[in-house]
Amino acid sequence: MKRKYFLLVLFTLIFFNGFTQNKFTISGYVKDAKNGEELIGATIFIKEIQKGTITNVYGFYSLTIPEGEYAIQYSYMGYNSQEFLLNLNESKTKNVELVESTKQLEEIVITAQKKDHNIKSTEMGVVKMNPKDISAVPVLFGEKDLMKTLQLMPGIKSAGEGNSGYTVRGGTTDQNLILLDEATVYNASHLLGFFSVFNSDAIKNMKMIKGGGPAQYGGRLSSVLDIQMKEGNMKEYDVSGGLGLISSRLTVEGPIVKDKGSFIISGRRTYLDLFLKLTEDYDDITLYFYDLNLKANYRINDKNRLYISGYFGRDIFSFEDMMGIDWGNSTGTIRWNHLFNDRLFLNSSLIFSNYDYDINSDIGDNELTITSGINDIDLKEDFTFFINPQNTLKFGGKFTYHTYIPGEVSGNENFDSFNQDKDYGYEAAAYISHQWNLSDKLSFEYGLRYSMFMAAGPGDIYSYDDSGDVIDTTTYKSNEIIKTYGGLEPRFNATYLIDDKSSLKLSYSRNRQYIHQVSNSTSGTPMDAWIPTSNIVEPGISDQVSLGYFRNFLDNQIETSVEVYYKDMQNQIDYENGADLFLNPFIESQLVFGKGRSYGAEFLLKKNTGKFTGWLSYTYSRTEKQFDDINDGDWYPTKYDRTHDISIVGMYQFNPKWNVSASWVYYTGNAVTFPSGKYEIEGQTVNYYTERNGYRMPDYHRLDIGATYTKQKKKGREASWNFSLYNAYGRENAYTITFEENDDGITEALQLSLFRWIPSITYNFKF
Amino acid sequence: MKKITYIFIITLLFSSCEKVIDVDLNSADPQIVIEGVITNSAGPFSVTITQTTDYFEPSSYPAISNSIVNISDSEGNFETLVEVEPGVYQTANLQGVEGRTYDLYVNIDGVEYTASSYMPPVTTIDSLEYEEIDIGFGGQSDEDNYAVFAHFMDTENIENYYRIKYYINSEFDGEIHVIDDQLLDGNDIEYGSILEDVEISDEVIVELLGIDENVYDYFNTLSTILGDGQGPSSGSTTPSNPNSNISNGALGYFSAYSSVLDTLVIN
Repeated sequence: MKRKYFLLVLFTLIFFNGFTQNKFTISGYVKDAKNGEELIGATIFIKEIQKGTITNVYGFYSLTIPEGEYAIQYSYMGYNSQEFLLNLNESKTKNVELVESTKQLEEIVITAQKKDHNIKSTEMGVVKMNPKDISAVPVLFGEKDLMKTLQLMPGIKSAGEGNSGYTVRGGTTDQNLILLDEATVYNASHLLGFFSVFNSDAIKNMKMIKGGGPAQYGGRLSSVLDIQMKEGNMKEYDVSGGLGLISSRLTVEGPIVKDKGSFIISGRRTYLDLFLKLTEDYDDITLYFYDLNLKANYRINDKNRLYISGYFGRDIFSFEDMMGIDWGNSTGTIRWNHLFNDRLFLNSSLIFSNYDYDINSDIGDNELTITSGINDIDLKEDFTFFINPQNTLKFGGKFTYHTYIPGEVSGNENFDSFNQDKDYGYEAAAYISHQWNLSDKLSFEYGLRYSMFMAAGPGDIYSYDDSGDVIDTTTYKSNEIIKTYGGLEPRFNATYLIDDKSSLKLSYSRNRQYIHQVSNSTSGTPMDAWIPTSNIVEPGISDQVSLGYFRNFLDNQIETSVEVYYKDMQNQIDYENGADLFLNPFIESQLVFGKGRSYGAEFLLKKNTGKFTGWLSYTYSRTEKQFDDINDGDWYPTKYDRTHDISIVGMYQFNPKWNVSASWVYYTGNAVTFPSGKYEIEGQTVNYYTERNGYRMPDYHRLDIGATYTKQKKKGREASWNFSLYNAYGRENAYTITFEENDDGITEALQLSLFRWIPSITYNFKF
Repeated sequence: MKKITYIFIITLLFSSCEKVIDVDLNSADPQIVIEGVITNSAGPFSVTITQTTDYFEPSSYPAISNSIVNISDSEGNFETLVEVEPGVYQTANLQGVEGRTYDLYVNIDGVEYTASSYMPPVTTIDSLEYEEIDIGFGGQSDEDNYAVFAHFMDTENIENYYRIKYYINSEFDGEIHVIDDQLLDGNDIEYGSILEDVEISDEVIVELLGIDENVYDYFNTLSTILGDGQGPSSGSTTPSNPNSNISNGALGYFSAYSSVLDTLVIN
């Protein structure tokens, strides 16, 4: 009955022809022969009809084609292709295991996709990466970091040194949705942003959508970063790890039941604090982080599969016993893949996500603890209906219950404990998306998402007058709805293949965001609070149009692309002069609201195969905001308005043992507010400011170099040494510039720079 | 809050370097800066008028002479201030009384500036205490530090704004401390601050000022931008000029306040 209902819905929603013909379905999973991990984005291609498909994030594919005899080719970059002859006279299941190509030793392949995927897919504004892609890119302290490497791609900009926050096409850092096995990660930074929370050893795949995202994603204005953890080796036990200058990693994986279930546990801890203990000046500082990724999966039968995954990470920082802060994320995901039949795939997820921080202070007799955070429980249903090679339908929905904990203060008898009211919200969304390959030349992916948010009680809701004073307080009971927002989010992508080597793509998308992050300082800190949409704060809305030209050269060895975009943003947030955001129950009185716009052009030249690989990316962009209360209502550049941004990454494989790499970045300095004069109040010099973000930090540039020596041992054992030098020519990039009066009463500009010539060495092993 | 950010930055210092750099700053048109107070203690009271200078000029600020400066109160008292030295205008007879509102009028070459400030009554300081604190950040400071705590009772059902000033051996320490009673209405308030450069046998005077909301707003915004620059260590989200209560775009403030004092000797 249920199934009939689904079909009915589908028939009314889309039109597809030729259903009367005798058609059968071939479906199954594509896996890595060595460890049984499903391959995401593997290609299944049928030469006779020149049609194909790719596997989804669970490694599943389904193709429905007319009855007949076919040669079916399974391929995946870096793996040997396999071809099967198949007489399709009934629907069949075909699971395929591909063997990693041995050529790998001499050739590095930096993409896991089909060679011409960039040209033919309807995706645009998408960057994909997996840990293999980046193992050679040199990084700070030798900690390979997918998030940092992503920031070397066009349109994705680092929020600055010591900040793993990033901005995408002019969005702010809180407009990026970060999903780890579908769970929202609210703070992706370790150690104040010098490292991301994602341990590359536990990551299987990473996909960044900069715009034009399909309808199954929503909730943030600027981008989606969708990360999948590894599933664990289905065939045999495996131990791998690394010893680095500041941290060590260890991963254990193996089958629970061979070829049916597997697990992976991956952990990491820094020991920077142990070095600090050896120094005279910093021996009373504790500073470290650790994180743990866990995942297990079990195939109950051909139609049902269960996944459980979790992440737990924590940063701990304390100074003597006086002051301490610790923060971290924890997420958990339970997923159930269910095949109703060989063409209708369902994934159901129950997701938990939490981010919180604690500040402890113990000065004299005064002990104080402040706790703040956010947590979510989500329920998510995603259907994929593989109609035929020309049509795929995705639909589903998501429900989230958010709890926001703005601040709980508790202390010993010297303090009155007080708790700021928690805020609650229900967020819900439903979507439908149609992938439609109209002809060999033209394909579409379009869809519609409806999202809504309800701010809910219990709690007191304030309204304010113009000067930010509370004029009215309304008390809401538990689960009473305070305010409801909602709206449609249309998405549209079109691809036109000009020829085999080039294509034109167009996309439009609207996104709504019901949560905002307010930052107490000019760059992200663990104390940045997430606040919900409310009676005062309206949801952000963005509309983005982009156009791209993609062309490959030399038999797809070289990929090039140009994308231009224009983005309009409504209901953006900024702060009142002298805003006080920390533990402020009237935080909304400190905010001002305005709009934003961003446009730019992104150029990419990438060489994927051969001894020499790498890419060159250049972005030209402008991002501006307009607020009635700021700069007399004129448009002004946002902090991350970065006119020019260049990244060059090159890797060269000398021989199977030695690999060298280098990366160079250059970008225009952030827009900042500097004083244009000074005056005196109470005998103290005070800076006089004329306009917001009217100045620029000095341009940033940096070269990193690295080399890796790999030794292959018997039975798949492997050991490698990685050497790297961060900021190789010792550029003093400005981390901060402060304007102050020195001891002699002279006002001066002081520049603080971090990290010149940071060498590192890391030993990695696998057995 | 600032302290926490401060510690973060210190931990980064082990691989950082700081240097004085040249920054090409715009030359802004000079702006009028007015600083005036009237209190409930004996006068005379003064209003100082100066101008801004370019940032990298020496720290001497041009005085604005020959201006008309008047202060009047809500009881109809009025006085024209006399310029006693360049840019400094002084009262002769006017007295500050709690509960009155004071209006400042300044005319500089025909350009008028006005401000208004209410002098609220202030509560008394019930007691002062201190505590020795070992706060040698990363062993950088071997000096002792003292936290001084002032206890006072907030008056219930009235919006109160306070400023607390510390004088070490009669010298104002230059730090700005302001609080409001939004979360503390009617409570016994304990306000503690860590004082630097205090030694045994020093005398610490704590002055509790009752100020009005606009003056609170001025000093609150001023404290977030003092010594501010750009980057993660900045105290405020974005530097800007403090919210002045003087009209016509003048910088500075005009504050009527009442105050009480208490003294403590460190031993």
